Order: sequence, then structure tokens, then C-alpha cells
Amino acid sequence: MEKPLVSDRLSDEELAADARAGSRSSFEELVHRYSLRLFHFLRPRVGTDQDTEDLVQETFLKVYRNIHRFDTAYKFSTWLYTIAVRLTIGFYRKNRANGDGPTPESAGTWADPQDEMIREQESQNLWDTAKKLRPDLYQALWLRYVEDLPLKEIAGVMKKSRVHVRVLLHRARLQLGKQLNPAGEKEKFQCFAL
Amino acid sequence: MFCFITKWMVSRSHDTGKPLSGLTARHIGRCGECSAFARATESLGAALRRDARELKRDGNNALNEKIISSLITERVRVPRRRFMPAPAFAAALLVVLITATVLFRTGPVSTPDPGVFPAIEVPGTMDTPDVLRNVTDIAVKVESPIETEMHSLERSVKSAAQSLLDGLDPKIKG
Repeated sequence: MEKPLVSDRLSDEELAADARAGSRSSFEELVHRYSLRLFHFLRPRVGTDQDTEDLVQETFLKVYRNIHRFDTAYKFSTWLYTIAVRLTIGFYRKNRANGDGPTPESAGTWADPQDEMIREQESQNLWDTAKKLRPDLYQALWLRYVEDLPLKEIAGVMKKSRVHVRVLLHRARLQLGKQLNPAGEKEKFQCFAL
Repeated sequence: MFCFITKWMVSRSHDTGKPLSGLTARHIGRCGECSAFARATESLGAALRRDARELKRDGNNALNEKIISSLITERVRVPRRRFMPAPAFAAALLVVLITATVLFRTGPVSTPDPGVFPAIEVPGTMDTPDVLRNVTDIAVKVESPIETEMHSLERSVKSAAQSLLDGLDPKIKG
């Protein structure tokens, strides 16, 4: 699919304002900017690629239906991630009621250990290692370093207090550092052991 | 134990941007492990940001297409102006209060003596009914400026109240 003909220089909030006024191409640009990021954000918590794609699609549909409620004074990414997190919670509840699907505890682990080994060997990206962290630690890291959200907004998206988010980020760094020890980043992150 | 606290303080400072306290900074200066942690936290952050840029670069066209095609059946809802009973009621109340205040403060208005009768020259040949009609006309014409203002204010208030009533939801209006 071709990228929509909308200027890359427009901010997310400007695009959302255009979409609110009825511009579909602006909304498509937002989809191009965020679909993959949202996929990576939700993937460890959801468990399967298929379910994650469905949730990403559902998130964008909900955003599109409610775009008139978006206030351009706020960051679009915060709004989008908040909706995604709420939908993920609903996804859990539905699956728990049906008695299938991943549980929050089991999510975040790859299904096949052999696949995991291959992925680990091929992995050059720190985020692949980070996916092995607990989902809430991973999501806090993602919002902090990929989306550059301030603590207050991360707390809003994750429905946690600011102190809780700081604790999550600290634990995520410590655990990520420990996981990186045996790999190539060994020397740099040795100090993460308590 | 102190190293554990120091690491927490380093992490907190990294997230909030607050500077480290003198005590923590001194400990980092002395402790090799904590100073390495402080450096590693910085480099880990930089590495996560760098790798995130790589992730953002890759596109998933199939997923984008799936999302965009699902939007075709959707329509953007144009926000409608909704009737808000609370502000409308408050506005109506405000208008009534202002009117009552104005009426109360001005009090009963005594019409000044127009002093027209001496000025009227009634010709001796004029019939009585004509004289009376002239007097009535003059009396109608003479009206104090305050009364004129009050009449005009009353008319504005009535029209404002009427337009508010017209805007009310029929259900609320009963």
C-alpha cells in the first residue's frame, strides 16, 4: 500500500486535527506512523501476532470513531496508547471469561523455546531482549524511550501512580541489564547486578 | 544497602531530570559499581532510543492495509452542538437577577410635571373635544428618559427569555 500524500512534517496532533475535520489521508498517515509501534508495544502482553494485529486494528477503529473527542492540546500518542491499553484489558477479560487465550502472567514468553533461541541468536535489537521482561516493565520502557512520554503521561496510560512507574522503570533497567550480561553488551552492563 | 539506594536515586534522577543530591554524588564518586551503573543507565537509554528508531523505520504494509480497509465503512462523526440545560438555566437566571436589580434600584418613578398646560394656547373658538384630544396627545408624547430606558430594557429581557425558551428541549420545557 502506498503511503498517503500527507506531509511528513505535520505533527501527529495536526494530523489528528485534520482527520477530525474529515481528512482520511491524514488519518492514514497516523496509521502508517503508529501501527507498527503499537504492534511492538502490545505484542509481549497479548501473546500472539494475530491477536496483536486484531487489537491494533481495533484500537485504530476506536480512535477513528472517536476522533472528534481528541483535544489537540494533548499528545496524540498518549491518547492512542491509553485506548490501546484499555482495549488490551478488555481483551484479557473476554479471554478469561471464555477460558482461553493468554493470561497476563504467561504473556511475554515466546511459545516455542526453539524459536526463542533462534530469535535470541539473530537478535541485534535491544527491544527483542526487552520483550522477555515482564509486560508491564516492557511497556513502561517503551513509553519512556520510544514515545518519549513524561512520567505523568506514562502513569496516565498505564493507570498507575508516578512512583509506581518510576519503580517499574528502575526494575526494567536492572532486569534488562542482567539479561544483557551474557550477551555482547556484557562489559557495559555488568554493574546492573545488585 | 547504600549502593541499592544510590542506584534507585540514579534511576530516579534519569527519569525526572532532578539533580543528584550531594551525598549520592559523593558516593558515586567513590563507588566503582555505582558510577558504572550511572554510566550504564545513560548508555542503556541511548541504546534503547537508537534501536527504537530502527523499529520505527520498518513498516508493516499488510497491517496498515488491513486497518485502512476496515476504515472504509466507517464515517467520521461531526460533533453536534448539544443543548446544555445547566448553562442555559444559569444564563436565564442571570438575566432575571440583573433585571430585578435594575428595577429595584430605580424604584417607583414619578413622572415630572410636564408643565405643558400653561404653554398650550387654547383658542377660545376651539371645541372642547378637540382640546381634550390635544392634551392627551401631549401627555403621551411626554415621557421621562428613565421610563423609556426601562421600557426598552423590559422588551430586551422579554425577547431574551423568549429565545431561551425557544432553545429549550421540548422534554425539559414540559
